[in-house]
Amino acid sequence: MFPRRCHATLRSILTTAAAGALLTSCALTGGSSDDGPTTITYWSWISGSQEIVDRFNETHDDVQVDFQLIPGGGDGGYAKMFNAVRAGKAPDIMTVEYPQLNSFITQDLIQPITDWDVEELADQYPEWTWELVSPSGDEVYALPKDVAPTVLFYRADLFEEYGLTPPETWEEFRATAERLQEQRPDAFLTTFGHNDSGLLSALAWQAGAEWFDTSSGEWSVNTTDENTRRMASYWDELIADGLVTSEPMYAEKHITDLQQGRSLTLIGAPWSAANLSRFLPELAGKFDVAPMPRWDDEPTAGNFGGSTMALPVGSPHPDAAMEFARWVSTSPDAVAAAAPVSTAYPANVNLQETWATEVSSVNEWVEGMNLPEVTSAAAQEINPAWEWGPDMTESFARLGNATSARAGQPGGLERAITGWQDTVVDQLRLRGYNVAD
Amino acid sequence: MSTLGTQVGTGDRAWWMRRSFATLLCALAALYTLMPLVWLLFGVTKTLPDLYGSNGFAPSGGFHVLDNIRDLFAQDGGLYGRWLLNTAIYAFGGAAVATLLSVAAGYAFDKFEFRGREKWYGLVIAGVLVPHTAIVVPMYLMMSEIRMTDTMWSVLIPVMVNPFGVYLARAYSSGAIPNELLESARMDGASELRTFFSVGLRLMGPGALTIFLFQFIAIWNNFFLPMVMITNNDLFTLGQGLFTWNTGVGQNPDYTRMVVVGSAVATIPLILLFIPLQRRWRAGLTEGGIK
Repeated sequence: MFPRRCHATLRSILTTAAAGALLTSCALTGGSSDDGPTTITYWSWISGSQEIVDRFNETHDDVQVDFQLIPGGGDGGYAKMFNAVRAGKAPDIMTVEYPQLNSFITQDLIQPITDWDVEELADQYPEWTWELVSPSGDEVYALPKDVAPTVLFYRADLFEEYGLTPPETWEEFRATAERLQEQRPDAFLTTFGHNDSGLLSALAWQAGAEWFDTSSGEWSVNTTDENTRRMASYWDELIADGLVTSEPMYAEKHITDLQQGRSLTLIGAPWSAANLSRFLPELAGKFDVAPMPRWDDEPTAGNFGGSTMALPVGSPHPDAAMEFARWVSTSPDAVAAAAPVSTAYPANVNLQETWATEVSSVNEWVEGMNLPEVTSAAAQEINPAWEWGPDMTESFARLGNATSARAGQPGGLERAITGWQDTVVDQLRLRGYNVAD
Repeated sequence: MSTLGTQVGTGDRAWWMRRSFATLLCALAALYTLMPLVWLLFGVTKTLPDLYGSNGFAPSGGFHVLDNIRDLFAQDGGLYGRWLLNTAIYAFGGAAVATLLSVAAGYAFDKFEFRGREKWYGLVIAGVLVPHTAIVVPMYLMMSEIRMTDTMWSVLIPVMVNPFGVYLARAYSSGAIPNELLESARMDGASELRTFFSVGLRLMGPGALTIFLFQFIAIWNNFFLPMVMITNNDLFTLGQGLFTWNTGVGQNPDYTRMVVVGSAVATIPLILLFIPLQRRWRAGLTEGGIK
């Protein structure tokens, strides 16, 4: 009995060793093509990801994607990615939003994807988008998935009832707000989301501000420029005069105001339509969309959201991951798959026609809206000079704290945003970045 | 007569006031505890727009419980069902092993004389004083060393021990198991293990149940440990899953409804567990108290 058991143990050790050797040789040649598909892990929280992954898996045999829903970026998702990549447990591919790309790049958490011939795709994306995924101009770090040009959603039925037209400039926006309150004193032209750092930066972006700049070779931060001040003091006055209400976006009060027609417009981006449709299903057909009111004669838009597909350092199957990322970023199929649940606007200009047809045909809330034309015009008007800082998750949190603390005070927004500059400079120096004075 | 009457009256009033004050305190405490649950119950009947647009403590037009529950179990390819099952595995598995270990250890500390008994016992009790959160990160590093993070074991193993359970079990054992009974079992020729399993364990049933329930609830509600150990969605607990959904509301507001309905459904297994066990548990608590 004893010798046989010993023999069996020996044999199993040998088998294990042989299997290990086999695995190693597989890894070295980089392929497991004969053993069925490569399964990769995709980390994201972007609406529509599951649908996109399902469609990819149906149409591909060589690569299969395991979608892992992670907490929303700033709410824990990025922290999870940082930890996982540092611990050597990176997923194969993951979502990073535009503002956070620089922090992933500067901390060596995502790798350049230039080797996967992505340069040839450059002209399929708006210039400003490509500059954000390739900040230094040589290496490309992510493939853009969607973008979010700012647009203005408005209650077309109520505008008609009160004899209002969508304002083309911010001056007209104020006049419209006044005319509305003459007729309906309890209503506001919009709800201003003072706590939403993404919205505030989109508004500053649209106003011509450039908060971050790396052209000198150092980081420089400037939120005290004329354009930022003009934007901030404009909203301060509107809030002080009671023409708009200042509330957290998508919180209970905001939604109730939208439902009951007390808040008539929403500054948003194409993705907002899907959100609105879920909160306000019974108002389908009553909303329309217009370009964002502008500051000067030249039309401009900001960007308010959007995401990219980034390849983490230590991605176990980079080739398969890039095949998936390229498909998400360039395939009409991916856009069609997500359309029933998401109205996020594809970054790739070749997909925008598919998007227009798909969202208006599968989403009755968007049907009949001017969304495709307004969005496509806005996407071309975004200022390409805008850059993001190297630690935006933290910077955004600090901006949100500053604006929430000063919300409602006279001149509060302007002081919060201009004061934020020093906070960011301190924060970045503490993190070891070189910041210009 | 009249003096006596007044005296009775004052006594009455004092009694009545004391009583109503106590009742008021209890009512406030009950309100504080039950209000969120009431809100949750109404929430389960609502659509997403109604969750925002209607009074949380009143029904709104329509009764959407079945739709909501169906959507809950269909969301993200049925992840919720998976999380429910995982949480049950962690809670039942962890609590069962923790109870057995606690009872055995408590019994041993109570019934056996061995060198350094009180010192060892002190060490166990010191474990009660160390906050659970403080040792989660060191545990993660250890699990990471042996490549066990992101497995069910990484959550199960740490919850399989419960120093407070050992304390309860020792106290319970000294009250519920007469030493004479063990003597007679030994005289009948039973081994120590046999004595423990056939005599000790049976007498400690109600105490074990208390430990089991405490540990079960602790694991069911445990958030930090699985949050640190597990990154794979398919191994998530309910708390972790609901948290993840809750951070996704910016992308998909419908997660708000899923979190409300999911939280309500997550309370059901605990209630179901309590109903049949409640009577025995209460009996066990009083038994342990009288000595």
